[in-house]
Amino acid sequence: MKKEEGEEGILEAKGTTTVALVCKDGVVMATDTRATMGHFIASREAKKVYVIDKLKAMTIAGSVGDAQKIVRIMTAVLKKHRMENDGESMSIHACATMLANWLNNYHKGSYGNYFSVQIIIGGVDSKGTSIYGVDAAGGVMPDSKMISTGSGSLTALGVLESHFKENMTTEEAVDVAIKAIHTATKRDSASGNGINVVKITEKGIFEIPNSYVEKRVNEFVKEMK
Amino acid sequence: MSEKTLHYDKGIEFSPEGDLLQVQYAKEAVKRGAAVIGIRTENSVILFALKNMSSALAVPDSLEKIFQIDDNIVIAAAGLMADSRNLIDYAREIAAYNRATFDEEVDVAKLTKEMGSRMQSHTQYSGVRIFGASLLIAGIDKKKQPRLFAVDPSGSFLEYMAVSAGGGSGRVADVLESNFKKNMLTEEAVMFGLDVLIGTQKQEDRTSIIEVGIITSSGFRKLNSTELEEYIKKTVEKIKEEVGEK
Repeated sequence: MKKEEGEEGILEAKGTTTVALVCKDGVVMATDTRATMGHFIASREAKKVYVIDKLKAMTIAGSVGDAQKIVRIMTAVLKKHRMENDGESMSIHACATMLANWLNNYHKGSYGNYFSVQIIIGGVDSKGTSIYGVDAAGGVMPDSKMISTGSGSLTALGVLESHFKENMTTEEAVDVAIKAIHTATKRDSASGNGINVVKITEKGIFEIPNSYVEKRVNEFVKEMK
Repeated sequence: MSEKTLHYDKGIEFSPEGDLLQVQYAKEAVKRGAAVIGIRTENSVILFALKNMSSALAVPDSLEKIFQIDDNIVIAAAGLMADSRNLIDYAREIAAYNRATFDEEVDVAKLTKEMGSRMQSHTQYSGVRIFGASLLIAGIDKKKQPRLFAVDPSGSFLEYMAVSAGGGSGRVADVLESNFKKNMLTEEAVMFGLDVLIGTQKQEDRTSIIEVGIITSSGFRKLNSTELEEYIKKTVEKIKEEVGEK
């Protein structure tokens, strides 16, 4: 059944910008922190990057409820997998493929309605660092260098295309990610408020302090003037 | 067996002594079958299987005892071959399911657990018969290390450096254990395995047909008849020499 106009806005919080990029020794993921319901800003400090395994994180865009359910399931399944496999984490490739199969089953309608989400899974595994994009139909963008999702992704991708370099340091990648999200929030009304940045290296998953992000944003603004 | 225990060997129930008699009978059925051996080296696992053909007119190649499950896993089966085939089909299903779900090969330790679970389930539910088979599961894990497991009819399993099943496995197991050396090269291990397998056979059985499979990180292959003949010739000569000396 087709949804009536406006209904989606009430039921599902949408509108987001997320980016993920691969750098020399890790992965950087960044998101804005705005959650919207139609034209209403439902949250100014929404969390859109989730740690799902030892060295894996996931960014979410689309319906918050749908995405959070996926986060809960993935976290539980990956923990179970580690227990069953002598502490060995599932590879990111396997993780993305599993999720894609799962989403495709729902998309086809055999289990129910589809999950309205765009997801990036990224991190470090035995093969190195990688990011994968997974969409609601179960489409996978395997082992990409940079991905952006959400309503602000077009603007963010413009920044990524012009600033992304192969083998950047994590610090450089954090800068590019902040720039991409910041620019997207300037042109997409559904994205905005703060910026969350997470980096994943062999050493672990680290959230970049808010103070540092704000400092860099101010510096970019000055540079551009 | 006392009259008291007699009732308990009909279904899969504990006897008053705490035994699952059907499981023991299944293990006995495996022992009566032809021997299989698995040997792990630093970078490979080698599986050996004896094939006792029931008729001189039967075609030896039609009896298969070493089965490839995926690029990274191979299983040798001892016991009732019809039961083994059913388990092999299941193992291949697990491997295929893993590829479809994760786009990756199934891990050899994971597959061993799955096989153990399936074999265990046949010791607990009614309406099923216990598998009269033991499996030697050999493979290369995600860290490119060779691994060797053995699952018995009860569904329990252990990892081994070298292991045997079937062939009245007492004798084979004894020789294997007392003569096994760590860090053999693949070629040495092939010789060693054949030595154990042929040496523990009765003189008149030494013509039995043997199947040998080798799995390494670059894949699985079975020794062809020319290679095998050469190895067996060498082994038989060696055994003759040793016997002569004594």
